[in-house]
Amino acid sequence: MVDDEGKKLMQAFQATGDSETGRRLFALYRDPLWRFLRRLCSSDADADDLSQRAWMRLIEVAEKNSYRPHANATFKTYLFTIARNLVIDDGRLLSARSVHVDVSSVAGSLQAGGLAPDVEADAAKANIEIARALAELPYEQREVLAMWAEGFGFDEIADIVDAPRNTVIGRKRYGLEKLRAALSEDVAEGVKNG
Amino acid sequence: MGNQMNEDSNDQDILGTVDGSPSAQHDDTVIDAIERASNRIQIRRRRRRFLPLSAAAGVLLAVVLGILLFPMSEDSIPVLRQTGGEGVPGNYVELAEPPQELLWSAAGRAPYRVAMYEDNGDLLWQIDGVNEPALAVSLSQRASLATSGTYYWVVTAESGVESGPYWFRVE
Repeated sequence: MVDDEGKKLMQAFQATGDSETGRRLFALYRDPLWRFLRRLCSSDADADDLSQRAWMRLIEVAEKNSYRPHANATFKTYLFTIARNLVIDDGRLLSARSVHVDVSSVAGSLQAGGLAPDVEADAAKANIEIARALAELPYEQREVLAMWAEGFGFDEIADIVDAPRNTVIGRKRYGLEKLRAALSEDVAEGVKNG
Repeated sequence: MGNQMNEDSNDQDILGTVDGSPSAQHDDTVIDAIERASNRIQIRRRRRRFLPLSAAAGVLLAVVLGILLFPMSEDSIPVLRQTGGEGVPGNYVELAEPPQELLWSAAGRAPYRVAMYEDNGDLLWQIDGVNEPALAVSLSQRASLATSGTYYWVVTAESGVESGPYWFRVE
C-alpha cells in the first residue's frame, strides 16, 4: 500500500476545514490533473474550465463530509474519476476529430520554455503534430493514453474508466499504434531521439 | 509484465509534453472555493461541538420550567370537603359520608375532567369542562357514593396530564 498523501490531506481537510491543508491538496494535484485534461482538450481555456469544475466538485464533497476513500484506490484515482466523469457528461470531447487543436496555444506554451529558436521551432512542430494526431484518436484511446502519460498503471486506469484491465491495455496499444502511424517520419524520429 | 512496463516507459515519449499550466484565474477560483468551504466546515464543527451543551441546557431549562409551572408539592394533595364540615386533606382518607366537594391542585391547566371510579375500576361518573380546581358533587353523584365502599377519582387537565388517582373510603 503506497503512502497516499492526497488521501490523508483530503480526509484532514473535510474533517477540520483547515484551508492550508486544502491548499496543499490543490498544489499537489493541480498540474497532473490539468495536464490530463489538456491532452483531451483543444485549448488551455477548455482544460481550465474542466479542471476548475473538477476541483469545485471535490471541494463540495469535502464540505458535505462525504469523501469515503476506498482501501485500494488512491486519492489521485478518485480525483481523476471526478474529472473524467465531467468530460463524459460534457460530451464534447467524446468523438474523434471533435478536438480542434489550438496551434497558437501549443506553440505559446513551448515558447514559454525558453528554447533556442531552431529547437523551439522543431519542438513546437512536433507538439502540434502530436496534439493533432491525439485528437484523431477515439476518445476511449485518448483518455487511456492521457492517464498513462500521468503515470497511472493499467489497474488504476481500469478503475477510473470502469473497464476490464485487458481492455485498457488494448486501448493503449491501439492508440499508440495509430499515433505512430499518424505522425510524420521527422516527428516520430525526433520523439524517438528525445 | 516487466517487459510490458519497460516498453511503456519507452513509448511514453511519443505523447510529447504539456508545457502549459492552469491560468491565474483558474487558481484564484479554486483557492477562493477552498477558503469558503473551509469557513463553512469550521462553522459546522463549532456547531457540532456546542450541540451537546445546548441540548443539556435545553433539558435543564425544561426541568426548571416544569418545576415552576407544575410544582409537585403539598398543594397536589387533594381535599375532600364534607357537608358542613372541614375539608379532609390527603389521599386514602376515610369519610363518614360521601364528599360534597372535591378540591385539587392539578398539574396542567383548566378545563379539567373529573372521573369517579369504584374500587374495581368501574367508572361511576365523569364531569367535563370544570374550569376551577374544585368540583361541587351533585346529589345524584353523591348518591352513587352512598354505599359504603372504596372509591377513587382522577383529574385530567386540558393537556392530558392526569392527577390522582385519589382514594377515599366511605364508612
